[in-house]
Amino acid sequence: MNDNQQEEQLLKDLMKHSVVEMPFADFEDRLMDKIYSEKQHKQTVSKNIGVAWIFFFLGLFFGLLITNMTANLNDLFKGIPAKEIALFLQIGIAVVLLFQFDRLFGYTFREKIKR
Amino acid sequence: MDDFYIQKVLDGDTEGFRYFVKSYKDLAFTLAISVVKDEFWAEEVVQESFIKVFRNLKLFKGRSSFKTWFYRIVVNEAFQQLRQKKKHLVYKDEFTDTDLDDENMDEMATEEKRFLVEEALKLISPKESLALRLFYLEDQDSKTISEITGWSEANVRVILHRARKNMLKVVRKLMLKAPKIESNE
Repeated sequence: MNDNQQEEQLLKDLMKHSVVEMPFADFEDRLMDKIYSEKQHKQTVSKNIGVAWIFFFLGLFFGLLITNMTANLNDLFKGIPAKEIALFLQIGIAVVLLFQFDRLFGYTFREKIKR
Repeated sequence: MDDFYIQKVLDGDTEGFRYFVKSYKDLAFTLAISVVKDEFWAEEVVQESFIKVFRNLKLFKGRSSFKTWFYRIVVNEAFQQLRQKKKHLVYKDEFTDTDLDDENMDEMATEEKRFLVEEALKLISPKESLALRLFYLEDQDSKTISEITGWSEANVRVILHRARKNMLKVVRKLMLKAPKIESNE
């Protein structure tokens, strides 16, 4: 056996002993507790996203309702034409709904997009 | 067996994940400690890696083996934590050769060898230590080591070559420093 082969054999023999066992006896149990918490958290998040969608559609419905009701107002309210107030409300509702939709869409489909 | 338990966990049996923890925790710890060189830190790396595996199990497509995929997560997590914690562990890249009679190695007890190799692996760089363990413990070829670590195959061969040289030099140096217990016979 030449020098290189001897060294390779030496290294092979040494490296057989290089496994380091996990020294913390409770590692498995602590980790499984975290895994169960992780699962619980995932389920809670899923449920909250579902509730958020319900409220989003409720908001959309009432937003459209208010928009429709204020569309034909002609009176003055504290000196401001009702149509201007209605326009301000409509823009506000649209902006809020758009932002909410963007965030909800992101939370709901984030993992599918990642793939 | 891995595929069976992957499906179990994806079907909602969280307890099935314990199979992966039992099967892979020691090798994961070995790889982690190759990089971070500290037991407590290595434990943190392994824990984070298993949690990432659990979160992303549905993304595992089976293009490589589960073992390769998992080891890749462990290695990435270890190097990421090393970068984040900005630990400046200093390693010598080159060690001077020392003349020593290798026959002494044959006479060493298993525990002594285990201690020697652990100490030696702590002294060489994370990449070299990791490459040696993947090559010799896991019998991984350059291609698989390249998949696990993200290094090119050429780079893997260079690191392995350097690692072998440095490992032997460090082992010999450590043996020189170890106190000799003489027999009174």
